[in-house]
Amino acid sequence: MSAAITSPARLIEPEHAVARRPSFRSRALHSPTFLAGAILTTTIVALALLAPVIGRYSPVAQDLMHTLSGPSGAHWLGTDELGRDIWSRLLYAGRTDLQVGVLAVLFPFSFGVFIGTVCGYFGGRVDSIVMRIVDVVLAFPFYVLIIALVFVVGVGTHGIYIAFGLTDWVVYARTTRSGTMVARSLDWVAAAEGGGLSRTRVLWRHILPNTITQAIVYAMSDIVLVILAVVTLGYLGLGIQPPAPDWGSMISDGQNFIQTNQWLAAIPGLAVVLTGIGLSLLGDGLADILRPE
Amino acid sequence: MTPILEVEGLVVEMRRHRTVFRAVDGVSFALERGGALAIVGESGCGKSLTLRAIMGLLPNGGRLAAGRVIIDGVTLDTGARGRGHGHGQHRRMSIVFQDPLSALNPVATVGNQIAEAPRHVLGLGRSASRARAVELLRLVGIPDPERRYHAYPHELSGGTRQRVMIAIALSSDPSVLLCDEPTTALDVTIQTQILALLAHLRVERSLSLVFVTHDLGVVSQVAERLAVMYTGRLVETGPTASLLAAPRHPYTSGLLAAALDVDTPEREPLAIPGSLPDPLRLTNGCAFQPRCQFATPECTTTDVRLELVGPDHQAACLHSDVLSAAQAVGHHV
Repeated sequence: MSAAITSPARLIEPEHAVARRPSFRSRALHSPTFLAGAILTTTIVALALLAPVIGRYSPVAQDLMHTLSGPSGAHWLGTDELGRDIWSRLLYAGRTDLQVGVLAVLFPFSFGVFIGTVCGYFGGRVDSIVMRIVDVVLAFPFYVLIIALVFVVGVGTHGIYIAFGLTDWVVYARTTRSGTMVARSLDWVAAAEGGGLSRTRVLWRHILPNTITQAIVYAMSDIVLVILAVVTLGYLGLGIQPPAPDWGSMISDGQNFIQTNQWLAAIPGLAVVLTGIGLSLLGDGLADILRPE
Repeated sequence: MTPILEVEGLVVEMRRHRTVFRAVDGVSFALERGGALAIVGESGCGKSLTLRAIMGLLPNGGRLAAGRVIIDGVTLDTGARGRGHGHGQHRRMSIVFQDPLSALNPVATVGNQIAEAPRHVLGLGRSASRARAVELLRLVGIPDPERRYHAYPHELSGGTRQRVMIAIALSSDPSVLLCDEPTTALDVTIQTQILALLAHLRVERSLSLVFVTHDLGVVSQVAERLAVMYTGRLVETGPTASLLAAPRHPYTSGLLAAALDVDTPEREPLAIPGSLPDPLRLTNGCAFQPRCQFATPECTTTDVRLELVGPDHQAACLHSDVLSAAQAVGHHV
């Protein structure tokens, strides 16, 4: 036995070169997807935030003398049927839609991640009940459910928040639950539990940081989904109410002039598409960067 | 002196599909203070489950149906809580797993993982836990511990990860270290280093070890006591040296015959005929009987128990005398 005992100094294995994983920043700078998404999204967000500075006109100011004018020096993107400046409206609409998109995702994200983590870790009866609720919500066609809920709780932003709050958490709950269930059977979770750490600590400090990336990545595309839903609701007249500008109602209003003034609908439509592309790229890029090795 | 760890009649039931079977069936052993016990057996014989049951970390579908775990005179609460024993008790034990990558949290630095138990279990301050983590990294033979503190698991080699795993296990200052095949996933040179480290720690930290492995080659290096496990039961226990020299259970001698021996390369390793029985179809009598060359009709009917067959040496075989007689005449079995 004693022959096997060596001093710790002799136990050192040669390992001079440490394969260091590049830092988050350097990985981010080397991901074209992430870069493209970040640049596009930042630009759109910056434009929306700067709306009061670069908007030049109030988004609701009407100028009935100059309706449906094409792009000009005074109105870069022209005016709509009430003579409102389209550039300004586009920027302010971006403000509204992005804000609603982010806020509407915030609650489902946090609630869903919480529920999913708890269900995945503890399992049992509560888990079965919650997952059946999730199944029921998922079984409904998404838009039918949202439209019905908005009808019930009322048209406008608060209706959108409540409708999404009630339905959208299920997706986060389901993905986080499966991630947690996988994590909980892994050795390092057992090691942490065996090491005497409290379950709360194991759950929030060990498991959650590993499972939350999936939810964050999904949240990016979810913002796009919400914006699309807001735009769709706006188009149906159930979303943001006039005169507050929003891309959906701009498309809906512009539709009347689709034969003569195509840009009225095309410009806000393009804004929606660009925002969607930006956030999707950002989500994909984040998924690549955050994925644990 | 009372043993540091006593396990009495441990029974683990596993649910598979709709059937329940005993994956660990009445395992008992005692570990002396500062002692080391190796448990060997084929994959699936229940040796890892035994360790997890002792730690209170049974996987889903597993249930501790009976048995007591007494550590340092204190009986652990192995009752209803399922995963993890009550606070404070298990601090006396830590476990080291087989695969050091999956046993480390991929998104936390190794230093923080080591410092966590001192900070949140032992209640040390932030800088004290940090200092302790660095000291543990140094103790397990990791060079430049201050720098390695900030490394993530995937940045380290397999051997270093296993050292980190051992450092984490030691961070709660246990008196018993349970090792679940800690060297199986490592290559042979690193394996030797880790075994040497464990031997070193035994002396340095007066640790007691339970070492589960399927590799008979490492047994004599780490443990002076050996327990052989087959289909969830201990079939032979005793001092490592005498058990390896003169096994009294046909399964043990079969395992030895199946191992490659560097000293006698001309000897071909002999496989044990047959394979592990389906745990769902275990019958009465000796579980090894269908594969045993000494089996007689009464082996199928009599329940065999561990019986004393030599000084401090127990075997669960009706024909342990036949085996020892065969060895006496030099007949290789």
